[in-house]
Amino acid sequence: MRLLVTLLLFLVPVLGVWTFWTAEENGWWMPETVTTYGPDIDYLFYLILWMVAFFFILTEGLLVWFVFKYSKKDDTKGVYSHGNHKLELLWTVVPGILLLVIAFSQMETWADIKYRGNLPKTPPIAHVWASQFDWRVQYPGADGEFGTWDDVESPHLFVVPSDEDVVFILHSRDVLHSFFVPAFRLKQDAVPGMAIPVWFNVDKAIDEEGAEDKEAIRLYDLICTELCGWGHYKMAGRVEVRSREKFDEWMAEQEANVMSNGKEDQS
Amino acid sequence: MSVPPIPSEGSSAASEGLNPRAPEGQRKGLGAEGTVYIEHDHHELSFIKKYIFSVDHKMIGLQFMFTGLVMLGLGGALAMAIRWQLAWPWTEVPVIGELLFPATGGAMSPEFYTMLFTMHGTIMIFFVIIPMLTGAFGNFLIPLMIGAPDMAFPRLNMIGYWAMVPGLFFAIASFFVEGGAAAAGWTAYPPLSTIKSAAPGSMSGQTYWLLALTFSGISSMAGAVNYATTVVKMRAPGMTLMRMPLTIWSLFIAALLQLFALPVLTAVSIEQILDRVAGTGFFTPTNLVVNQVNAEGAGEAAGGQPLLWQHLFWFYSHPAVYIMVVPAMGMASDILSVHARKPIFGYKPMAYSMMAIAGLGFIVWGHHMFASGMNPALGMTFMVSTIMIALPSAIKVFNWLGTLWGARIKLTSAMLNAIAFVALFIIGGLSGIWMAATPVDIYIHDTYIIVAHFHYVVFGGTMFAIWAGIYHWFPKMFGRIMNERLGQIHFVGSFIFANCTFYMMHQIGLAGLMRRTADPYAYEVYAHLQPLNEFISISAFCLFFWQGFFVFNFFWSIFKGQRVGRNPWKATTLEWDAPSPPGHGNFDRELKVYHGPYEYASPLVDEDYLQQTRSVN
Amino acid sequence: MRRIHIASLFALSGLALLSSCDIQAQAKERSYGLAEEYRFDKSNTIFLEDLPEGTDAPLMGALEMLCGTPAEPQLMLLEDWVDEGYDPNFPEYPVGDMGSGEISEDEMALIEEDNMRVFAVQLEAIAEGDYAGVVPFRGAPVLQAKWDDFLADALEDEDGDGAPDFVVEEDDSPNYVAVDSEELFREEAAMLLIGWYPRLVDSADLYRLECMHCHGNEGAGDGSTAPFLHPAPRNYQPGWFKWAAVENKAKPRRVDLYNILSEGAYTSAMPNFKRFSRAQLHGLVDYVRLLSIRGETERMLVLELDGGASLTPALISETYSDIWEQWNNADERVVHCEGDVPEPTAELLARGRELYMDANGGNCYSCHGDLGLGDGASAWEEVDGVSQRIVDDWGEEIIPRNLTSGIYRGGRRPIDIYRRISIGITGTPMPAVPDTLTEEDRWAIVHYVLSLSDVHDGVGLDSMRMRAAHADHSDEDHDSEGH
Repeated sequence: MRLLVTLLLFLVPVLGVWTFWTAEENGWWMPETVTTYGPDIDYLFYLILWMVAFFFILTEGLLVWFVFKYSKKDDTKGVYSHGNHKLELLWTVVPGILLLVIAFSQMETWADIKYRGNLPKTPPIAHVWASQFDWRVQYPGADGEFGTWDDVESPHLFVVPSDEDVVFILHSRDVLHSFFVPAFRLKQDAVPGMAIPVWFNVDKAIDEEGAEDKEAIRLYDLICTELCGWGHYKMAGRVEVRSREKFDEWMAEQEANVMSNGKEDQS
Repeated sequence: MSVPPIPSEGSSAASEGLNPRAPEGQRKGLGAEGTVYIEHDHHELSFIKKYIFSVDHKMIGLQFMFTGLVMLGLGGALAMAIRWQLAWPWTEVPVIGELLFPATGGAMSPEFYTMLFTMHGTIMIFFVIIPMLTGAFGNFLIPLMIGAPDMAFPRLNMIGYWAMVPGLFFAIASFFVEGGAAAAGWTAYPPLSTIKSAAPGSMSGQTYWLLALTFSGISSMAGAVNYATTVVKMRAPGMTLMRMPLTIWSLFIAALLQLFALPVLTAVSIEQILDRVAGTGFFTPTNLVVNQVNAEGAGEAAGGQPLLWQHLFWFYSHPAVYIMVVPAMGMASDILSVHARKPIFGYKPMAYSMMAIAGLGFIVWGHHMFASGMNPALGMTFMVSTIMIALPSAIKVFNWLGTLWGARIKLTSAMLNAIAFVALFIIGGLSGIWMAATPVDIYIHDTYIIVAHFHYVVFGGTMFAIWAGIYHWFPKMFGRIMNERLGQIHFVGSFIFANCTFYMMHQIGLAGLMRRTADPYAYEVYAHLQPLNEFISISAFCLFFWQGFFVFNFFWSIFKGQRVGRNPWKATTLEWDAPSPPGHGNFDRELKVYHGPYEYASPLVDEDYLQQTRSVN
Repeated sequence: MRRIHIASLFALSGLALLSSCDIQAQAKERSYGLAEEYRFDKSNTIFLEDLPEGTDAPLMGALEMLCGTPAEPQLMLLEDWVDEGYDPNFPEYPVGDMGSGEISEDEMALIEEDNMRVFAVQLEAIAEGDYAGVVPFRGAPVLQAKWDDFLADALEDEDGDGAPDFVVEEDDSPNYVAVDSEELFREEAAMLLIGWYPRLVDSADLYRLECMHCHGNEGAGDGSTAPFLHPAPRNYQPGWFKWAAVENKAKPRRVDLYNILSEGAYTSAMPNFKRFSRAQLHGLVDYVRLLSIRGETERMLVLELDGGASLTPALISETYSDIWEQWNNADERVVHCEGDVPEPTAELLARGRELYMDANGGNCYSCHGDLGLGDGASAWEEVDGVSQRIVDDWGEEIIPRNLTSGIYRGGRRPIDIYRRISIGITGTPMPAVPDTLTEEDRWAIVHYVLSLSDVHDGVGLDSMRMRAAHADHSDEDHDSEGH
């Protein structure tokens, strides 16, 4: 029993670390990030990962060792100790400091991404509407004003220019939804009754060979991450990132489509 | 008054639970230390009074335990259906498929899936973990461990159990109403939960859900009042606060958490009930139309905020998770100490850290809402408090390790489960740090990393602690011991399968898969996670069926288990002074407490344990 | 060994065994059933149980012959199709002038381009020669089977030289050719994927995964989720589709169904399915067409049976053929517009308002209300002294659109609104405007209607619409949007 239990406890840190070590090659890892603030978030993630890994291995390791060593049959009495003040101080102060370091290192990134005062000054490029169970993006159309007859409505597809600050306003038509693009490290709940400004800037373009290809049109999944009903699982969208030139081309196409008189699809 | 000798075990007087030393007619006095409740006459209680509407804390504790175990089976079955769908979506579900979904060839419907995870979470939290830890163990152990004859308010205690029963009724009945059971998640965010047209479960099932929660809350409040009063007022002479076992500290702290947090949940549940049935609009924004139905039609009010529910709900529900985990920590501490034959390392830090966890637990609720649209400045404050709450938990982990160092560990079933508690709580606690970091939480929120985290703390933590508690205190409850071999087999399988089930959810979450999804592979990008989900599901099925060892062991041992005396574990705390099982009034002699609860390996005596009630001159 | 060791070994090996064996969880095989009632309009409903005894089995048999089963859906070939070499089960290979249902060359080019995106991972594996590493295709069992066969053929080693032969024999189906070298094989393998068009079996499976829980097994709008949806999911069986550019109650064109799938019917429970590939969407159109043809054939045969006729082969094939013709000729029923979309001048808007309020003109106000809020008096009718909402042909209560909301289920472009008022909405009480209205008149109404939801001019009082973002991005509570 003793050996078996030790082995089981030993497997916890070993397999625990191994699954994280091999995660990326198995596809169990975060997708590569392409936004300007993505690397900041990743840095914080890794900072915590290393600290957590250290304490994980330390505590689980000690647990394994103590269970193994002190479960040996022994009729003598154990150590009569009610504690050790110095140790208590040590393992209060040191983790405390580390935790405060973690806490304070988060603040700038959080403020940068979410504080209203830090929103880029560009006008919103679109209003994004979440509803049961559909993402729809509304662009201002040729007149440049939202809410007029020539607005361009794009179901499912949110096309944005790269290498620019993109601001959009997130709405919900009915219940709570959430706008999540994993590759952007961006998430924001859509709340009915609120119009929430969100920003990002895609400044990386990685094609299949890992090379930079700014001319490629890149697609990123948009996922709803707040339960919105039975169709929550299929409320998919796509963010399509194009160079500014190609974005303008696409927008011109859409605006022309709005002005269509139906001839082109009459074949 | 002459003092008759202490009756030996097995004598009828002791087993009847009567105190033969007490003078006739002496009534109990609350607040007078050292008084003992006396049965004022010798009548035999009727079956109903003894087993159904009992006012005896031990029987009430057992009622909570049995009910909790049955609901654990139900909650687990719901989880099995969830896991089937995640591994093999839209295929014929075994057992229930043909019965419920003949038109689709046995494949479940998407709305059924939303109902599954909602009720799984609700049942597990409100009808399994909280009743088992605070209801069962709280009731059973508090008077025994502090040397009291019963709770301060025995009748209120009974009402506490029976108030939960209508809650059970509503929870189970909700499956059979039109539209099915609640389907808005156990978090029940409006407007999905308040607008009847938003989800099938929001037609009637959600109202039943709210009623179930309200009754469960009444039950918990009754218990909390009792526990707090009993611990403050009814400790035996010599039992100072700093001589109480950590189990009692933890249950006392949990009771205080209940007292301060639960009224908020009750209030907000009533608000949601009113929104649903009385046309109020606490959570309904203006001009809301869901699924073609205007929320303001037929004179219903609006102008409310969905975020209001989130704030108030989490104001309770975050302390709720500490209500669950703190008693588990307390029990695990005691069990570790007993079976390691060594005092708890750092008793005062352990007690203070539980208080810190509880106190901090009131100011962290916003970490569930970082992405919710609330003012981002709040994200900053909640982040700091949430990250700091990791500190007392870390202190506890180090102290548990300190307890094991230099110990003489006996690998009994109880001990195995308590050690597993520590190992798995470490994982759950550490993953919490990522979530506390607000920018990182942008990615993590509502993904499977959250699911992994809370299953590690609730299953890996509280469930293993519950098993440890059952193995450990079963002899006191029933006078018999559970079979050790079966206990070890149960442990090994549960440990392996629990880790196989929940660990890989971290990876799935890192890949970005969102929670509460009926079909992960609706997104091409997650198609490669199917083998992993299959592995998890198979582990989950094995975990579920492996509990057969425990269930068999538990019920068989009640009737056929090996009989034991008062103190089979050679433990020091007061409950082991009473007969196994204790009768009315619990103790058959006057108690006085001389030492702390963890005098193991004491140099003062030859044995490796020194009971709290034993005086050494 | 101690029992505990045995138990844990058992646990571990059991888990390993279970994980490795591929649990072939399947959905049980289904079959198409018969509807219990058939609505033809508000007053004419035929119940299956009222038909002569022994009707069910021959009817089921006839329909199965015509359209197959969910596991093997297939449109039966009519005699003259066979003569012409035409097979509707392969719409990507139109023969001669087979009308609107089939895929044009341009469309096929777009499909192929999209397939290159969809199968990017597999195509990359093929380009690298890693044929075994080609990831399985989700929702395309026929393609998967074809790929597996193709690969098995190519990788055989008949000449015993230790290397795959890369020889594929020609067979009957259009995609295969004789291939005899690795380079050619790679090209052919890529074309297999790029040129993929789903067969009905593939689409039936995708329908099962994504559509059936609302639209039902037979496409009768009776799935498990359907009772909770407003409006109810479309029942394909009458052959009525609301949002098409063809005349009222005419069959929709392929592109109309494609658009509904791709864009959704906004704010109903029908979401957009743009996440599917073009090929998949076309495949679903084929399958929905099959369900609709099957359903309508069933209804027409039931109508005949109710009138006393008997199920002869001639009757069956005539009914089927009639319905098929309507689908085939959908193109001829498109509602046209000659001129371009005009600018919304003040005069045009005033004219539009005039026609909107004119009972002999557009007569829009009678249902849509003076302010366009959908509260017109004609939206209600008296039945047995009780005022209730009017009902559409599917039997569901219908609410006239609140025009200030900016929601247009059939599309929000001016041409879409133009078509809407020129056709009405099939199956609903919304009529077309009188034929006497000129194109200019219609554009006036169109622009007036669009202006009702226009935030810019402030018309529309408690409407649910989107506001322009303020320059300082303040997030005061906006009115939330409704439908």
